[in-house]
Amino acid sequence: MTLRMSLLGLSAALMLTALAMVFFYAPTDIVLGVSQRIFYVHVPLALVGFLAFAVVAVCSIGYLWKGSERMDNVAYAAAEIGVLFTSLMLITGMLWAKPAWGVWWSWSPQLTTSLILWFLYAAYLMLRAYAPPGETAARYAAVLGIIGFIDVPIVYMAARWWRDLHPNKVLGPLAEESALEPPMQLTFLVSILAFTALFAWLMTERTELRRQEIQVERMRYIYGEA
Amino acid sequence: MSEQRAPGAPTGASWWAAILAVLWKDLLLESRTREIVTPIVVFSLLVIVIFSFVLDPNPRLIESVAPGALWVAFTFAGILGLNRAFALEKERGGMEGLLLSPVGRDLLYFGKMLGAFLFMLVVEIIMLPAFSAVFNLPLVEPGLWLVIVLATFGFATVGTAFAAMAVNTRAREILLPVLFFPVAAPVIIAAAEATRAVYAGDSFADYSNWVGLIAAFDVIFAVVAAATFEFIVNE
Amino acid sequence: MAKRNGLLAAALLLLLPALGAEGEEFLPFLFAAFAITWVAFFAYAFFIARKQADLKQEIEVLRSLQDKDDDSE
Repeated sequence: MTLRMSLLGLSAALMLTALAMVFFYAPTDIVLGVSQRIFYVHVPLALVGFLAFAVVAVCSIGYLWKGSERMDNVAYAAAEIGVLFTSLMLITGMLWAKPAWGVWWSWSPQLTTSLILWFLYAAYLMLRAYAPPGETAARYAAVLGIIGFIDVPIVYMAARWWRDLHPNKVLGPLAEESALEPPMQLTFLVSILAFTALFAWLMTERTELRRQEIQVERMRYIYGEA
Repeated sequence: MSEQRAPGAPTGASWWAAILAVLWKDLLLESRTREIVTPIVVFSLLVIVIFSFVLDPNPRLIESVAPGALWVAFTFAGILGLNRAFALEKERGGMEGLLLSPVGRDLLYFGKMLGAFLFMLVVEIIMLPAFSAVFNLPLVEPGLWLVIVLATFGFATVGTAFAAMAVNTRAREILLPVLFFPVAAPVIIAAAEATRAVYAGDSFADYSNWVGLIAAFDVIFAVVAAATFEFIVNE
Repeated sequence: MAKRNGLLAAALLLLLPALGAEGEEFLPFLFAAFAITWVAFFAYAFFIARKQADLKQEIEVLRSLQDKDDDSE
């Protein structure tokens, strides 16, 4: 309980700091203008989303190895939160691409990889929903969690070579990362910390909820009513 | 896992014997019933006809869209074949029989995977001449055949693992493609690009990186899927 | 509806001085990106909290049933 409360407090404090820095401390980008500030949500969302999928992979291996239900609960929570972060990353990315590049979508290697990742872990959640409940769903999901994560670098390679063959017609200034000024770097760092703390808090809450769900399922099974 | 193998004989020869026994069972059954290959071939030919209806017959345009059409047809045929193979196995209770046998689950995987690979390959061998004839494309291209064999093997590696899961779920017809496509995306991209290069008359060196990518996918996922197969099929 | 638009305009006005004048036409994109992210996070946290409360209650009920069973035996 105390861990969850302190994580909530930490992420709230960091988030407020990050928000204040994004709007009142970081300078406006000379080339990209105000829309560059989306960077401070978009990139942390992407990084933490990727971290979430790494957690899924590690816990999947742990689950198949040790068979501990707790590992599986953590993997489940990480997959769901990872899909949430990746969805928001794709949305904020589109909202940044339009002002920066003049298009909503560009098949850059990062975007292509993220989109496929989103589909992969959406499929992971579907598999958990449709598989026979209990231990079978956990085993299937763990196998997919491992296969999916190993697939990521291969997808990235394919997306990069593919992009070389089919260059996008991008209008306006290309966001080939202009070097960040020190205040921007600091703001970016605080944003990453804030999103990581938020992720940690959501993880504890979602894992706890998952534990409750399983407990209720078992009790219902024993006492048919209610 | 080793305790599931036939006692006292974990030699290379007996591994092959086990894999081939599983494969042989699938091939024999299929040669008698033809319940997988025949319907999938008919379906695939229909897909080609539909493509020729909807695509502009301009030869220059065909060259740019044909590789995509070919791989869409192949992946759809592959998915349907996998679904059908495992659904039939479940109906007949074949999997229970295999699981009772003292064969290692990794060897069982290789047997099933090679079976799926061969079924898909047979369908593609029948489809490709029809496709080449309809769209007036070259057929005898060793590079193209290499790409097809490697990519089909890649489809079979992950496809077998996912089909074995999907068959036990609700909504299995939709779940298999939903699981399969994102994971197989790099193979589909690589195969389509390599095919495009072949049709454009490029030399092997120009698309060898795509072939290498597919080969890497094949090796990695054959190993990973074999190692995790016991967690999919064991009750 | 009018009230919501008013709030939106106020939020944009509040942010304007901090942002400087350039690229104003892209302000709605910036606003949308932050708003969507925050609404999604709050909605998700709210959904988890409510579900947790519901399940806690259900666990209590089931547990009391269990106790009754144990008593009658």
